This record gives sequence, structure tokens and C-alpha cells, in this order.
Amino acid sequence: MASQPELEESGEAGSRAGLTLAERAVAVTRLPLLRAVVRRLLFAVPLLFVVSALSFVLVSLTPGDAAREILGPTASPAEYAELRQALGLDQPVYEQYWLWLQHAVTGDLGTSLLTGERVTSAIDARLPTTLSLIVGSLLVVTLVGVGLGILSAVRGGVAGRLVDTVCLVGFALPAFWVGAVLISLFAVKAGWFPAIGYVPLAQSPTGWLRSLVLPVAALSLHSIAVLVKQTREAMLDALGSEHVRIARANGISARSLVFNHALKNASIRVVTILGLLTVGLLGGTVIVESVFALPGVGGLAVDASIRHDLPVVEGIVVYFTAIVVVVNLVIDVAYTLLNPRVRLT
Amino acid sequence: MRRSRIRWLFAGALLLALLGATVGSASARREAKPVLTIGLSIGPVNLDPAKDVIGQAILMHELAFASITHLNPDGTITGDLATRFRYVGKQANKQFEFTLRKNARFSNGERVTAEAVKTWLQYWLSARGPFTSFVGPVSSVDVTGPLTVRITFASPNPVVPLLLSQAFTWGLVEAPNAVATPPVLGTHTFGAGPYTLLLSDTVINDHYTYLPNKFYWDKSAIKWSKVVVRVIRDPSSMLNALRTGQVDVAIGNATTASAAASAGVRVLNTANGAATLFLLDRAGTLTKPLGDVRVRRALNYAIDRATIARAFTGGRGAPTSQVLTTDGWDPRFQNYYSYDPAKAKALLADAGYRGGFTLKTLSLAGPFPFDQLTQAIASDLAKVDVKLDITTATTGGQFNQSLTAGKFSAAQFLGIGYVPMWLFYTVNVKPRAILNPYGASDARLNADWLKAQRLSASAGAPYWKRLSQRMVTEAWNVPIVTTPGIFFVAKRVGGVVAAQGGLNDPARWFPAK
Repeated sequence: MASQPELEESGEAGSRAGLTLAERAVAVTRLPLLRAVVRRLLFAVPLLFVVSALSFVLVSLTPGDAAREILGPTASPAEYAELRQALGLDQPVYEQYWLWLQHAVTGDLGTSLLTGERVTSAIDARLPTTLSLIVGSLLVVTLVGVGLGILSAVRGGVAGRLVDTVCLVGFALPAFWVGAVLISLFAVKAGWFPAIGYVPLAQSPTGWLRSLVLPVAALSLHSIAVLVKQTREAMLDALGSEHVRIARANGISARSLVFNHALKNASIRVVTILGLLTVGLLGGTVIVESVFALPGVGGLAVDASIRHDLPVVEGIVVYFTAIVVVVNLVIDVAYTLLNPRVRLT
Repeated sequence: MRRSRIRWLFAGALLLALLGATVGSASARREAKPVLTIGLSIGPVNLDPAKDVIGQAILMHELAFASITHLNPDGTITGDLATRFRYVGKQANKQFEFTLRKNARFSNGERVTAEAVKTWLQYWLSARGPFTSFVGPVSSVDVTGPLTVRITFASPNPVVPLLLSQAFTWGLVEAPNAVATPPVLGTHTFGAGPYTLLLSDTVINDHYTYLPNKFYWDKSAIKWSKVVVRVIRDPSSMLNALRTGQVDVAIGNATTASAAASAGVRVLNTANGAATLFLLDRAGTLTKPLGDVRVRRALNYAIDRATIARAFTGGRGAPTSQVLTTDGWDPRFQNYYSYDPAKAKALLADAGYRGGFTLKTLSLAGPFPFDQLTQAIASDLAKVDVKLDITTATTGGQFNQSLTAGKFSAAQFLGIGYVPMWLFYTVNVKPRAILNPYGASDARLNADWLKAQRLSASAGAPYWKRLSQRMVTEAWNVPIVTTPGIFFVAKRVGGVVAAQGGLNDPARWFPAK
């Protein structure tokens, strides 16, 4: 994450502050930032190692294993022992993990112990669904959350209180309940949207969009509430700052004050919150995918964990960790672009 | 400012129009093409039938695979890939022979020959899947003609026609070229059934798409342009899918059955097994009281089966004192044990356990609320001072691990479902079977089992009934309630029947007019 912003005015900071966004975007390709990005990416390697090892051990510690899942509740001990040996599950956990790691570093994440499907194929088949959910939710959360936050801060009064109430509701209602209500109203009763399922974008763009409306709405509500509150607070701080007051006194228009001055400063906090919300959305997809019967990675993760399908669990851990690393990196870079006084370390 | 607002409004209106337009066009598309969509709440463990468990996924396998024999809804068995089948040889029920139809082909174009079927049968045995023990030891699989196969068993097996049917997986034959590379069987289908899997429109454990098999021998039997099987774990989501027409036939459950009926969906209800408190320790090894038949009978008298049946199945299951088997069931013994806590206490006192005892019990969570059922049983038994010390397993694997750990005296779950008594006894009851780990033995039960497994189905019938009756009178277990096998069926689908055991063959369903 970015270091503390430097408060002293320096020649360099002052001149960078005068650059446009495009000029700053060019400046970030220069060496120091690039080095910082590479350092972040290299840090992901030990992170992946730690997370994958931890998850491997945790799943291995839970009762049962893939052999028992395959054979079901009525298999004999002899049948179980035979299959366990065939699957390599009779080896010590650290040896199983080492074997997996040796293949994983070459890009081979193995095959599912239960279905025999290649792990990368299994995840790739479901990734578009989860990514569609997350990206769609992020867009909705950003547009609605920032919009309502600005409205609440600028208008205040009744509008502000109304937005606060909506936020409370958003905090309180769990995603699965919201999803169930949306399905009941807009799918079952109105017939506007499907109750379950996902249509790939390549199959039908409008079908894809329709299949995402309700799940995205269910997934987004809580995050919208969070972002509205944060945006509102950040905007109020920015609008109350000295330089905005001076700008207002100098006759700058209200619209320019809000969007060119206050929002620019508030966006630093907003971007940080969005990064945290993105990671939260990743976890939230598990519930939404279940309610809407979507073929996403979250559902695959739950199934694989319950069934002790270790290669699949590990594969998902790798994918999700990579996503989190990328999201954090994007947030860091955005933070630097928005706040020229920040240096990435 | 005004122009940008107008642009946003126009974009929003366009989006709504696009979305609205697809509602009508999607409906029109559905009407024009007869596509069948089936909803399961549990998907297959593996697409390879040799490695899959028997469960809801049997419906999927029946689309892609023709079985050697076919179990009909009325319980009779006829041929499917086989045109003729019978027991042969001098030793009763140890050799089974069948002759294949001439015109069958697998979905990759290979012919269904005796050699191809032999390859499959042997592969299935070598795969050591969950049901290898059901078949028992096989001495050999031989080709005795271009289309004739003979299987020789090491010991008598009277249920081979059933084991080769679509009710199990041994008879779901796959093409030999595919069997030569077993990993491919986990992600593709190479059966001789009316449909074949379309992998490009399939996401394992979410939805499976089947298209007509162009090599199927009876084109008139193919009624759908496409069959989609969706795995929908949440019962409410399944119901919503039915209500919106996204699913035509679904595996239902008792909790949503009334809502489904209100939504205009046909609800078919049969019994597919009996939830039972299996007394693993009939020999009294861990829990001495269980070795006394008076104690076991007391447990049976202590259970209020009628109330449990109403509470857990909404009236769709029935109280039963007898396990549910295809050929052992005797309706006279269904209510052998009435609800009589006083009699239960008297029996316990007579056996020397007036103060009761503790029973370490394993329970399995599942679609049917087995764990809550165990709590209800515990509540009834507590009234006669028998305490259940319950451990609940959340998965079949965990259950199996606990079952074979030697720590429990009783286990509550469905067992192996609606099967012949020979299979029930072989897998569950005989000494050292999975549900008799401490080796309890009954000379009369064993004698009847040994005798009947050498007889034909009709000659063996009285023995299987006797086995079932004795298991009731000797209180080998505490059966509680028949578990309902429920299908939700949209009006546009015909041919779905309420067959005992919950068996259905989607390959024989058709668009209803």
C-alpha cells in the first residue's frame, strides 16, 4: 500500500501537482514506479506459497478425504485403502503438497481427484461468470455509490437523510435474502429476468446482461451502502477544506467545485475503499452463485472444499490470490495517479 | 448539461428496450424448440459411470448410455442393449449370459459387440468404483459369440439382471476406444444411448447439455432437440426455476412440494427407501444392551413413527417397522411395532436396563433432513431413558470414515435405498458387512440368504420375505419412515411416472400435447 503522503511542499511535488492526468500517466511509466510494481509482483510469489500451503493443510486436516467421497458411505475399509493409495492420499501431507507445488510452478495445477477434469479447465469454465459478477457489481457499486454519496453530501437535508436510511437497509439485508426477494418479484412474478442460470456473453449479449441484472443487484447492495457512506464523508471533508472555500469565494461554479475540486480529493479515499470492496465481492459471489445457480468459481470452491478435492482447492487459491494481488496493485497505481504527492515503496 | 442528461436518458431507454425485447423473443424461442431441462439437486461425482455413485445422476447417465438390461417402472426387467438374457450353467446363479442387439452403436460410431461389452465390464470392475462390492467377486467375463457375453461369478448372485440395468452403473456400456483412455471418460460420454454429451456447452457440476446421438438405433425414440441437466442445490432456487419455466422436471423434496403443487406443477411421489436407525452393534460388543433382543425391540416400541412421518415428510412418507426392499417387503409387517413407550420401558426393565443406557450414534446430514430426524429419534428414546450420543457427519466421506472407525453402535441414514433383499443383506447385514462391523450373526437369516441366492427370483421370493420378516421380529434395526422420492413435472412433459424406488428414465419422456 502507498506510504504516508508527503506533506511538505517540494519542488518536484509542486510541479507534479500541476500536471494533467495524462501527463501523470506518462510519468508513472518512469522507472521508480515500475520498480515498485515489479517489487509488488515479486512479493506475490511468497504470498502464493504461504496461502497455498495453509489451505492445503487446512483442507487435509478436516475429517474425510477424496477417496471416501468417491466411494460413498458404504465402502469397505479395504476398498478405501486401495483407492487412497491409488490417489496418493496415503502419503504424508507435506509430500502431497510438495508434489503439487512441483507441478504448479510449471503451470500444471493438476486434475480433479473426483471428476478427472483438469483444474485449469474447471476454473476457466467458471471464471467468466464470477468475473462478470464482480466487474458488473463494481461498476454498479461505483456509479450508484459515488453518485449517491455526492448527492447526499452536496444536497444534505432530506436527501441526505434518505440516503442514510437506504444505507442502513443495505447494511442490514444479507445478499441471499435480497437475491430471493429479487427473484420472487422480477423473475417469478414479473418474468422480466431469469430466476437462475448464466448465459455466456459469446452466446447472447442481451441474454448475458439479463442473466446478470438480479445477481449483480443482490451482490452490490451492501457494497453500495459502504461506498455511499465513505464517499459522503470524504466529500464533506473535501467541501469543507480551505482550498475549496477559497475557490468558492473566488466565484468558481458549484459544479466545478464538486467535480473538479472536492471529488478529486475525495477519490483517494473512494479508490481505497473500492479496493477493499472488490476483495469482499469475491467472497460474496459464493452466496449469490448458490441462490441464482450460477456456474461460478465460488460454487466450485465450496464443492471442492467439502469433497476434499485438493487440486481444485489449491487451483482456486492460486487464482483468487492472483486476483487480489492485481486488484491491490491497481489500487496502488490509481492512488499514485490521483495523489501526486504519494510515492510507492 | 441538458444535452448530457438527454444522452443518458436515451441510453437508459435503449437498454430497457433491448432487455424488454429479449423477454418476448426468449419465450418464442422456447416454444419453437422442444428442449427438455431437468433439475437435479446433486450432480454426479464423475461422468464415468464406473466411478459414479448411484444417485440423482442416474437420470443423466440414462440419457447417454443404453444399459444391457432395463428396469421398468413396474419392477420388471427387460432387455435394452441385450435382446435376451438368462442364467446358464449347472451352478445356480453363478453364470449369466446375454445376447446383444445387432444394430447398436456407440456415440463415436463404434459397434456394440460382445468384445466391446466385455471390455467395459472388465474396466468397470478394475476401476474399483463405489459399487464393485455390490457385484461381488467375478471369476471371468467371456465372449461366447460375436454378440454373446457370459459372466461367471465366484459365488451366487441372483440380481445380475438388476445390476446390469440402468438402476446401477455396471451395465452402462461405453465404447472400447474410449475405455482404452480412462481419463477421457470423466469429461465425455461414449455410450450407446439416445443422446450424447456436448462438452462445449457443459460446465461440470453446473449444467450438462446433451444432443441426439446420430448413431442411436431407434431414431423415433429421440423426442427432444436438446436435453439440459442443471444442478441446482438450493430447493428454493429449484422451485423458482420451475415456476419460471427454466426447468421442466426436477428432483423435489417434501419441504417445497406443496409450493410446487400450488404453482401448477405436477408432483409425483414414491418411496425410495426407509430412513433407519441401523443398529451396528447387534452383538453388544461396544454397547452390551444391544445384544439383547428385548432391548432392540424396546427401541422399536419407543419411536412415534406416525408423528415423525408427518413432521418430516409432510405425509409423503409412511411410518414403517420394516426396511424397504424390492422383494422382501411384506405389508403385514409395516406397522409391526406400535408406539408404546410403556411396553418399551417394561422390556428394558425385563432385560435389566431399567435405568436406560447411552448409545453412541452416527448421523448423516443430507437432502432429506436426516440429522433433524436423529434428534427426533433421540427425543423419543430419551422418554424411555435411552440417551443418543450423536455425532453428525456432513459428507458421505466423513460418514464412511466414522462408520469404519469402530466407535459407534448405531447409525441413522438411508442405507443403500430401494434394492433387492439379497443386496441389502449382502452389503449391510451379513457378518462384517459395512453396517454389521462387529460381526453379529443369525443362523436362520444366514441360512435363508445362502439358500435363496441360488434360486430364481420367483422361487427365492418367499425366502427374501422371510428374511425381511425375521429382521423385523428380531429387531435388527429400527426403521422409522419411508423417504419420499419426489419429482416435480411441468405439464409440457409426458412419460414421467411415479415408480417405486423413485426410478425414472428421461430417455422415455416426451413433449406432452
